[in-house]
Amino acid sequence: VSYPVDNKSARCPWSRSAVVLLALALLIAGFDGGAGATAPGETDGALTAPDVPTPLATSVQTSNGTWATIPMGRLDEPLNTFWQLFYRPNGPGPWSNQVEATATATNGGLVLASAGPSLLVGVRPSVNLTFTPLISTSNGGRSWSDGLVPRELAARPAALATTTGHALALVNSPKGAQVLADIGGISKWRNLVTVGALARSKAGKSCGLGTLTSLSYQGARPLVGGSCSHGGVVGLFVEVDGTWRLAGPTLPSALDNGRAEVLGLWTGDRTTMALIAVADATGTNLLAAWSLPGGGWAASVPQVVGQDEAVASFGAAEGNGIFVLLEDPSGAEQFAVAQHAGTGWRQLPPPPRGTATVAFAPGLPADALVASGTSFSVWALKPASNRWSKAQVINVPLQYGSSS
Amino acid sequence: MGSGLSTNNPAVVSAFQAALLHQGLIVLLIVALVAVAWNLARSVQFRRAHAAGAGVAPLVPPGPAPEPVARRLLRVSFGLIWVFDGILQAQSAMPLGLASQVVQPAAAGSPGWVQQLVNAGTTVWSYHPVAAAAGAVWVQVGIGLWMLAAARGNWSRLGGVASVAWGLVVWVFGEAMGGIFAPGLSWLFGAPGAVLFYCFAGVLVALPEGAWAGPRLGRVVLRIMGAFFVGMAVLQAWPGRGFWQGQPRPGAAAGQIVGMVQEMAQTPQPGLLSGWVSAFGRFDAAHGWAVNLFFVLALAGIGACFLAARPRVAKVGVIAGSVLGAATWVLVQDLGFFGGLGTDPNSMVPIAVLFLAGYLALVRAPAVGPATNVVPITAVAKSAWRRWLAADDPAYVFRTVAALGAVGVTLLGAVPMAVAATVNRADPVMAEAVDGGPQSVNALAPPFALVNQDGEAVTLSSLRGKVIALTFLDDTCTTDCPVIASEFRTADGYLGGDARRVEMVAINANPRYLTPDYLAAFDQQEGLEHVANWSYLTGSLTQLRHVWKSYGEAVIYLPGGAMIGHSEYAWVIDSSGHTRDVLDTDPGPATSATESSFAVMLANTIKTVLNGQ
Repeated sequence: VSYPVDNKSARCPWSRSAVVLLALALLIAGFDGGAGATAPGETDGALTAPDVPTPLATSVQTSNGTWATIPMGRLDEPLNTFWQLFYRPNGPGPWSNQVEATATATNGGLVLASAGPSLLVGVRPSVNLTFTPLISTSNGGRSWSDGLVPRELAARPAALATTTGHALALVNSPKGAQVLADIGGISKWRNLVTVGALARSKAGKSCGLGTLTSLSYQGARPLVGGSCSHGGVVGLFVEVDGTWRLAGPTLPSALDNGRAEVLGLWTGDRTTMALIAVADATGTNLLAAWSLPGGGWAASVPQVVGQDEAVASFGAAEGNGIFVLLEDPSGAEQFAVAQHAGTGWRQLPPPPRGTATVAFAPGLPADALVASGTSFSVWALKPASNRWSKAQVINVPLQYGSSS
Repeated sequence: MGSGLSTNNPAVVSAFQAALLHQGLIVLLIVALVAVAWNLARSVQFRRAHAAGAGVAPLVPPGPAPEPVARRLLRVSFGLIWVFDGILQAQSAMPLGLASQVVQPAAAGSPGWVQQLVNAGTTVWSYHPVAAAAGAVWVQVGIGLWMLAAARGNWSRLGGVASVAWGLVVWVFGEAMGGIFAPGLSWLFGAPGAVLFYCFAGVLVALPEGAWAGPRLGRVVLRIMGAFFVGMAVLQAWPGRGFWQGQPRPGAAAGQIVGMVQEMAQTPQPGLLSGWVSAFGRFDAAHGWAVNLFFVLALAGIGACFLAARPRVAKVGVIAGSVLGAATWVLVQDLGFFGGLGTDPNSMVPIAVLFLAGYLALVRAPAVGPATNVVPITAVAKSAWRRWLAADDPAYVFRTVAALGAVGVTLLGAVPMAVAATVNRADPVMAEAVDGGPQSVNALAPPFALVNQDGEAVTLSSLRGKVIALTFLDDTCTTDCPVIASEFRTADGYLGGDARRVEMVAINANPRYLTPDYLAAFDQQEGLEHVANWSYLTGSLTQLRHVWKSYGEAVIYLPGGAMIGHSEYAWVIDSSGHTRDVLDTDPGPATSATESSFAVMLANTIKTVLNGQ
């Protein structure tokens, strides 16, 4: 056996192979590079509806007392975040935790709606649950009745609305956002309108309806809020004789080209209140608006939302007011209340760090509700000193890991 | 609620070891058969020689040329590597750990389509972890023995083909294509997947032996390896991929190499090795740019040497590549199998064997054409069968018989694995691993009188004559109950025609949401509304509390916004109303595999009760 040594290598075009493989390597590197075509959030420069978060932490008033919902536990872990339901009866009494009334996991959040003495609570589904249990009380939580919405309730603080004997629910359905109206009790529902149907209506087209955001009643008529892509139009819709009409306020002249989104709707004392975010070239503004007894709406002076600020909570304040908590990246919060049309927002002392929401009760100063892990603390605003002082602490036993 | 499965779960480990033991006994049988077959063949040889009148065993005539040294190197090296990989596959954590600790991390950075492809493989594995893991052991050991035993001829070439085929399976489903579509691809970390080199070697072994005549094949192999090295140098040099970066100070963002080395240093391994790896990590942290420059230049230089494919230059490349590969294998790859769940010695050893084989094929190739006293290599395969019939070469007979045995070992792993892949019902061992098996009892089932999801009255006695699978479900539960309901629905499907003789029953375990509306919503959520033999029952709180108590079902309000807590069991009640088995229904990790596995266990238990009546 002979093993000849190769002497012919010099004529081989190894350089050609190298070039081919180099190109292959570059191709692989191209796969590896992952250069994005468009940066997140980058748009074509056109203004869109304001992208304002709508946190579920809020408070509502009934004629018996004040209810609030806030998240507790490990807020960076969805399955270890447990939304709580607190109640304070009218008068000087303390807050108490009522969340066990939900009888199901609250990781998905709670949505509150009130009318007169009644509170309606939607337990948003999470993990494997896809429908929404409802509980309702008219006596400050001493007894509860229950119902259900057969779909996932939207994650918006005004996704439920109730009035005497009736209720509305904003749900996520395969066809997009959908408004359901109860048909007697709170377990049977009918379709009231879908985002698609409303967008195709004359009113929807003039607004350039994007999505549905909030529900309430104007008198006995359902009122549906949404976001508009057309400048200067507020997407507030009311059904009159089977036809959806725009009912919303007109924007102040300074914002008349802004894109509006209705963040929240509440039924107050002989009025309906709305919180509207308006985005224009200068940034985002918040407007409070009130329906007028003779028809039409009146709005507050805009409250500017700083570029680095986020809406931490909003809700109804005492005396037909609307409150807003704005939080900066350091966690410091700004607390403002709009009380009257045509006037500015009243700036109140910044609440304690970690305030999830604020709550109001007749004849009492505002309470700041602060959650940290399993500790719930209440800070009361002392009118005399205009400072917050700790009034109550509740340790909430949380069952970590119970939803995983 | 729910406990994850440890990779060392006793039920699965025990089943895996039992499977290996049983299959090991079959391997011993195959060895015995090989020995008998060889003995018979040798007897035939002797008789033929005796009949020919020699009286002694015939002298072996001038044989064919020996196997080319480069091919022998490839065949023996990769045979040993496959056997070693097979032994690694026998680690007790392999059935439950391969998917979660090896495959999924490997696929993590890859694009969606790669992950989908890989998931298809891991699903099969997770449904049949014991059959798949045991099968992988014997397939790899079998292929290794096959390559070692069959030195020449078609059996040997087939061994190469088997190596390619199994290598591709492992490369795609086990290595997520070596991460070639993921960020951070680097020669240092094993790109483009060690098993791809097994495939390359398998292709070379599968070539006709004539291909090894002359230096041409050696040049081709060296140039492929050279181009690979140059490509890897380019990738290593590519800016913005984190390879030029060390770690300027503790706590600062670490470069890719530092990160990999630090991770490797944390894995369990001998202290000496750990010390070396840590020391290199510190050096690279301080001199990241220089270290990467060295690797880039070294890879490019070695690649250039191989691309030249001239003996002297290639020799330099072989030496440099071996040194660099050995250093990388120890200092960066940590020998490949330390830490975690090692499945192979990573890429450096196969790469080194390949370029060494290329070099040997270049400088020690058999001559082209016939030579004095030399049987042409191309004639070996053709004459092999005739020589086997003539029985003039005991070694060849032995290797052929041994190769047949190795094929048997390979099939011993491959066949059960292939069969398992076609079965979409998971092995019940997963359910046993989570909850244990069914507990046999014999007691009269407590009666109940409730209403179903349609508001119709249902009692235990009204179901007499059917086997009942009964459990308790919270109708607004967000986690376990929907999973358990799904498992019941799946088990009902597994029963096939027997489902007509069975009633699947759930009783509400929520003390607030009591009306049939909730049951109907739950049924719709779980796709149970059209299951003919499904009954979800409820009643007043008083009625339900009575039933909960009689079945020992604990139902409690958990505090702070957690769901209702209740015990999770299923009762299998025979047609006369006696409880025959009780199963723990905790879904554990609630993967599709454990869900299917529980459904199989429940269906099997029901069938046993049906058949016992």
